[in-house]
Formats: sequence, C-alpha cells, structure tokens
Amino acid sequence: MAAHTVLVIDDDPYIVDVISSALRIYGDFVVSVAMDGAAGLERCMAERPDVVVVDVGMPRMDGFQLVRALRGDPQTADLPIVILSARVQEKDQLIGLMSGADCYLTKPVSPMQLVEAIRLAASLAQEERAERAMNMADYPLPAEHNLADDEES
Amino acid sequence: MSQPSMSRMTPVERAALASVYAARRWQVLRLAVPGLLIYTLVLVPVSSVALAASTLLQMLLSGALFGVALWATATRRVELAAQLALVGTFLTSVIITINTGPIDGTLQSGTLVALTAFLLPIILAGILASPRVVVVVTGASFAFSALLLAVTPLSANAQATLHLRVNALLVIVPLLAQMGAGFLSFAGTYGFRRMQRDLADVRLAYAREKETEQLREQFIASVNHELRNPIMAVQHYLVMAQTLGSQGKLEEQQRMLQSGTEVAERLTKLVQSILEIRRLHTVTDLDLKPIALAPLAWQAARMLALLSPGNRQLVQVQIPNDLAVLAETEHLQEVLGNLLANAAKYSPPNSPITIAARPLSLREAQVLRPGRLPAEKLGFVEITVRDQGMGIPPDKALIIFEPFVRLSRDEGSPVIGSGLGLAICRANVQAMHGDIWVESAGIPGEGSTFHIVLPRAADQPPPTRRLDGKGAEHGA
Repeated sequence: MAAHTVLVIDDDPYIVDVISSALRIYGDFVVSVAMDGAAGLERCMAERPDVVVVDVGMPRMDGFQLVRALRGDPQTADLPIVILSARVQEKDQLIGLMSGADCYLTKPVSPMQLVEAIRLAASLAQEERAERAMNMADYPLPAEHNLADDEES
Repeated sequence: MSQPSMSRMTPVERAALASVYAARRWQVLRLAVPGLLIYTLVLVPVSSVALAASTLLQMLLSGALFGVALWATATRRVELAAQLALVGTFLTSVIITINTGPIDGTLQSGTLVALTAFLLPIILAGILASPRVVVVVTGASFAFSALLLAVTPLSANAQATLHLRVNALLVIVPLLAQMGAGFLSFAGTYGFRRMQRDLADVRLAYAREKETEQLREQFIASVNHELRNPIMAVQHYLVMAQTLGSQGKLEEQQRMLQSGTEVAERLTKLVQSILEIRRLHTVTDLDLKPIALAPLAWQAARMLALLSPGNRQLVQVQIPNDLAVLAETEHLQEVLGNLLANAAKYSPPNSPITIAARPLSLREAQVLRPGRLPAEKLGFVEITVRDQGMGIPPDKALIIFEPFVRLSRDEGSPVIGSGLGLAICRANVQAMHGDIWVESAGIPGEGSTFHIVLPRAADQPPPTRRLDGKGAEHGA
C-alpha cells in the first residue's frame, strides 16, 4: 500500500514540527504543512492529501471555516479531517464536529495517539471510498445526464 | 466619606452608580405622596375640629406629629421621619398663616399660602435630596413665618378661638415646631444621602468584582489555551527522543532534545509573563505621583542598551526637561521599556528610535481620543515612541493590545515574544488613567508610532543633573 499523504495545518511552528516528525517516526506518512487556514485550503486543493490535520485558532481563516470550506467543495467533501485544537470546551468540540470534521482531538495528545487517530481516519475513508465505488457500479448513468433531465422538467 | 469620582471609572462601574442615583428623582414621590394623603384624609378634618376648639390643641397636634417624627429619626426609619417632617412643616405653616391671617384667616387661605410658601420648596429640596438645600429652605420659611408673626396682628378668627391668652406661646411654639421640622427634614435627607452612598459603594464593589471575575475567567481560558501548545510540543519531543534513542538514531534524537529545550524555554517565559499579567489584573488602585518624564525616558534607553547589547539602535529622547506626568514609576518604566524593546526588536540595526513628549490640553486630548480619557484639570501629556521598523498593518492596530496576540508574520520568525508585552502596556496605562494606541501604515521601513496619553502633573524641576531635552542622542 502506498504511503498516505497528510497535510498538517497549524500556525505554531513547533506543533507543525512535532506532528510531522511523529507522523514520520510512528507511521510511514508523507507530510506537507501550511501555517494558516487560507494557505491550508490552497494546498489542500492543489495536493489532494489523504488526511488533513487542522488547528482551530489560526490567522486568515480559522479551522472551523476551513473545515466548512472543504466540506462545501464536492472535490474535498469526503476528505478525512482531524481537528487538533487547544480549545477543550464542549461547545468548540460540537462546532468542530458539526462543521464536518471526522474527529476532534484536544491538545496535548500523545504522539502515538495522534498517529493512530490519523491512521484510522485515513483507513476509514479508504473503506468508504471503496464501498462507494462498488455502489456506483450499480448506477451506470453518469451524473451529468441526470442533471440535464432535472433542468428540463 | 468622599463620593468616588465618576470620571475615573470603567463604563461598567459608571453604569452601576448611575442606576443608584437615578432612584433619587422618584424617591421624592415616595416621600411626598403618602404625606399629602395623611394630611388630606386625616389631618384636615382633625385640624378643622381643632381649629374650632382651640389653637392650643392644634399646636399639641403638630407637637405630637413632630414627637413621632423624632422617634422615627432616632430609630432610623428615614422614610417615615421625612414624611412626618413634611406633613408637620405643612401643618405648622397652616396654623401660623391662619392665626396671623395675612389674607382672611381661614383654613382655605392658610392651606394655599402654606402650599406655595412651604410645600413647593420642600418638594424641591426632596428632588435635589440635598441636606444643604433643606437647610436653606427651612431657614427661609422660618424667617418668613417670623416676619409674618411680627408684622401682622392676630386675626379675628384666632382671637375668637383663643381661649388661653398667651400670645408668646402662640408665637414660640409654631416657630420651634418649624425648626424641628427643618431639623427632621435635614436628618431625613441626610440619612437618605448616606443610605444612597452606602448603596452606591456596595453596587460599585459588586460591579468591580463582577468585571474582575469576567477578566479572570477570560484570562484563565486564554492561559489554558496558550499553555497547551508548548506542553504538547515538549511532550512530543521527549517521547520521540526516547523512541529515536532506542532506534539508535542519535543525530535525530539530538535535534528533538534541542527543539524540546527551546519550547521548554518558551514555556518558562510564558509562565513568567502570565504571572506578571496576573499581577496586573489584581492591581486596581495605583499610588499615582508626579514624575518627571525625561529622566525616566533616559533610564529606559539605558536599560535597552544594557539588556540587548547586540542591538545598535540610536535612541533619541525629545522631552522638555520639566514636563511631568501623574503616574506610578515602576508601571510607567515597564511601559516605556516594553515599547523601546519592541521598537528595537522590529526595526533594522542603526535605525533611529525616537521617544518624545508634549503637553496636551484637555480639549486636544478629548478630540484625539473622544470619550476615552477622564477630565484632568492640568490636561495631559502625549508620549510617542517612533521607530522605522516593519510597521503594523492598520487592521491589526487594535488587536495587538489584546493578551496573547501576535502578528502572523511574527509566528515562527526569529523574533521571540509571548504576545503579552503590549497587553501589559495597555493594562499599565489604563491603571494610570491614560490611553495607548498605535499609528502605522504597515509598510516596512516606515515603522510605527506608539502613542501614550497620561494625566499631566505640575512641572517638576529637573533633578541635580541638567539634561538637554532638545534632540539629545544616546547610542543604545
């Protein structure tokens, strides 16, 4: 199996460093990084990573906005997203999950725990994609065709 | 007990006080309406009978009224005392007017005169709720009654009903009663004032406590947030160093330990800053004294040179020698030190940093910072610290004074900071009744100018050594 690619988005350079190091040491992930929300969104669109790890409090675009933006775009709607934030309040966790994140981890989290969470998110997404691909085989009509029909009616 | 100065308060405290003093306007109705009801329902019929029977009886009646009022005052039933004093004054004035008969010596004309001559001023005194006004009103009505008794003969009505031919008693008793009424009104309004002040104190303390509590919660929340990142980083570096050590990757292990140490240092600095800002939140009343500004600025410039010998910036001090501010030395020193250190940190070597000051009239200050400064008699002093560094984007000009805020361009840059320096500056300046803000176009090289406005103190003659205030230079 090819190594998963992970995009780490956090404005704290040390956090970016520890997460990417942990992902390399405890897993065979290929890591790329972004230091704020807007840059993260751009990289996400350009690189199509397998998993995104997002901080919440960031300049330019915060983590919640970023997650909503990713979920709103059909190209990244299924992308596994792990929020890793220092905001520990239940309210924030709910906002994060309702924005569309798959998982909400609070800092500090141990390196192994973090890597396992990312691995799980990646493999779940892979399973889901495989399942969807199988389901899609039952519906041979291309999506454009359906859309055109709808517009005519 | 002095009333706290409204101008030196936070908006929350001002609102708390306003709510207490707004009650004063309505208080008079609570006092006057029951008093008038007692008079019309009970005392008019009773005094009509008394008038027909005996003037002495009327006096006994008003005397009894004042007796009860005195008892109410002694037992601190402030409202009852004030009501009885009001009715008593009114009744006495009716008796005096009827007995002296300046118009026609009837109950109706007596009531009319009493109403205009006594009741309206008393209501006025009640609205103002000022003991001083009560004294003036009572004195005036006492003089008016005495004049009335002196210049007009007893009315036919009074002569007809006067069984006891003791004119002296008829003159003295109402006057004494009126003095008593004045005294009781005074006691009533004074007591009310005291009560109001006590209540204001309690409300004020409550508002302050609530505000502090909110700040504390906000503070704990942000500290909690700020500590989690470095703690996680240290934890990760150590765990990974262990793993790498067991795998024999010693070079990588070394890097982990190195980075871990860096973060641990950052953590230590953060904790120190937190302790400092914690101290600021607990300081409310500083001991403000006149401080000569120029020597303090020189000291800050020298401190900068001592603390960062690597920096080669030129600090220029342009402050008139005798200009003084009302401030607390240590807090002001901390502000100037922080601003100079920031200026040095964010500007290129050998670029000038200027610290200047000028007096600011009250009007100028209010035009400059509307609604943000108290009314100081001597006006203000504006201190500016100007550098030619990277500047601050205009949209960040306000937020940089919030705790734990750092500009995104500084995150990960070699410039170390905890995001607390300017928050400490703002807290210090506000505790000294001043204001702080920054002006910058956000263009690198054009730099930024920090402005501080503090209350001005009477000029302080320069100490032993003469300082040249005009463009003196100091290589830091």
